[in-house]
Amino acid sequence: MRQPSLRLTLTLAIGSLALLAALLVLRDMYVGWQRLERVEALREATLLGDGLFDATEKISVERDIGYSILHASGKDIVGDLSRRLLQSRRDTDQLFRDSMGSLSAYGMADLNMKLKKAEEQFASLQDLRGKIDAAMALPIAQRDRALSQRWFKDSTALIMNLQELWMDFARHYTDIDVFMTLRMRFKHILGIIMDYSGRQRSLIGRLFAENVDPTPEEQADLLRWAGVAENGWVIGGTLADQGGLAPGITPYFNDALSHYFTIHDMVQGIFYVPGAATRPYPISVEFWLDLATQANDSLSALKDAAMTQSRDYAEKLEMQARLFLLYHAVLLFVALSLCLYALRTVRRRVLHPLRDLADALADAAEGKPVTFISADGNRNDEIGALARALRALQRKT
Amino acid sequence: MRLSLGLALLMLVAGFTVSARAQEALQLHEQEIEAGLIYNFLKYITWPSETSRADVAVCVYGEDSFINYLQLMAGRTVNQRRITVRSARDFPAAESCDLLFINTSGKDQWPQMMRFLRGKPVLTVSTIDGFTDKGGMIEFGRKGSRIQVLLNVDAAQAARLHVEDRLLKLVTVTHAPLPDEGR
Repeated sequence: MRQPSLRLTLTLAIGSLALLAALLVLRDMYVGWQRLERVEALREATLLGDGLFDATEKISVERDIGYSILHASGKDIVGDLSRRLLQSRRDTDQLFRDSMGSLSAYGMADLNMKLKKAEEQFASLQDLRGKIDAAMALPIAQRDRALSQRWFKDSTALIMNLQELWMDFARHYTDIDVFMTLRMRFKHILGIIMDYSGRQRSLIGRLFAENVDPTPEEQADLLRWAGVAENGWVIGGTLADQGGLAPGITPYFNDALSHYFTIHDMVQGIFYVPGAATRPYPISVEFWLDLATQANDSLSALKDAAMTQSRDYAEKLEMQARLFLLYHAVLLFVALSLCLYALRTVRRRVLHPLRDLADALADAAEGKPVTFISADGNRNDEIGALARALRALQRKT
Repeated sequence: MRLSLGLALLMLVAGFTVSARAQEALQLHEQEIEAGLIYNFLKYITWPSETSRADVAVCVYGEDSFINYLQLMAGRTVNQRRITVRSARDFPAAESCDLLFINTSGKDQWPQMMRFLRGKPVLTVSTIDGFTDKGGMIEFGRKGSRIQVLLNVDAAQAARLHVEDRLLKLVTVTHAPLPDEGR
């Protein structure tokens, strides 16, 4: 069997090495590319989740005001609350439509049912808005008490559905980065705190507006909701620590926590202790709603800080994934360049001089005058040594 | 006749007792709310930057149970500053406070205190009747059965305190120049 030429052998060896190196780097690049796509999707999902979260918050604010206004009678109070209600409706409509549109565009089959339900619930709330407006035109004694209960129940149901929707959506992205997953959980817990502090705010607002004692059932609800919110603060603190959020959000977290508990302490004695309520209440409903809105602003500041941190972190992940790809592209380029350089060097410095020497020897064998070596004669390597030996042989013969 | 008179007297006494208890409970609830409002003052009033510290000191001048409600705020934070609560037993101690609550027992010392604190960025708060007319900054008053918060913006501005609009929504703004300025 004919042996392969040295040229072929060396070309094959270097080519194989180049191919192997390229395959290894390309495999890593493929993994990196996949990660980049996932991280990009995660970043977009974070933005969408933030929009959905904002929509939920606005519905919660509208729920509070709508619930209080149905029990308010003073012209000034109703006028003030009506202005706030209109503003909150505008905010809710815009954010709800935007987030539902973006969520539908994802085409996630497992979300369809909840999406459809949310649209139906929102349509029902819009119907109730009309009924609230009609009720506001009536004296308080003629208003349907069931309307406020239905408004509270339906808006709370929509808030809970949106929270579940967000969790189901976020579930698609929990395998990408553990810190990001913890941050998403933190946001979910923050949503729960907002919801349950909003529930307390709404009910207390109604009690202030109606100037009535809480029923035992209402007091039980207040205590339960306060318990859920307080647990939320504990869990939220842990998740913020574990998710690496703490350094950036701790000041906002402490402020929001302090504000929440200060507002809670203000009405603790009146509404949370059985039989302790004394009327007439020392503050009006609009005063209470101002205080509650300010406490909610502290929560919103915390939410904004957490969202900014999460977005920055998602951008950092994306940047890391891009750098990974760039690094591997450079690595591939360097590896291939080195192989080409090696191939060229072997051809120029080994194969060509050997061929020239062989040709010269063949000429010598035919008795032609030959100069064995030209440019390579001064080389201080094996080829140079061979050339010098042949030149010595030529001189002797 | 004697029995019915005795019963009527008993009902009257019981009625007074219940009413007194209700009144007492109402006062407690008012104090809880006023203590909470102090937090909002700290949140929506800005002190001059050169006096800003890591902690925000809330002080009570004179003996009063109100400090117990304020103590609930100790250790909490507002605008990223930790709240400390303490008693201010004399004027120099009051000077180092960011917010000074003067209880009604300090009513007689207020004119002296006001002169001592003039121009210093100390937010003064009290339930003393007519406090804002006498150079105080914030007064917890009553309008009917409800708490009314009066804010003397002139006194606050003289102490270089900036009141944010968010707080102005909660208070009734008054204008009363510092008493000595007119002399």
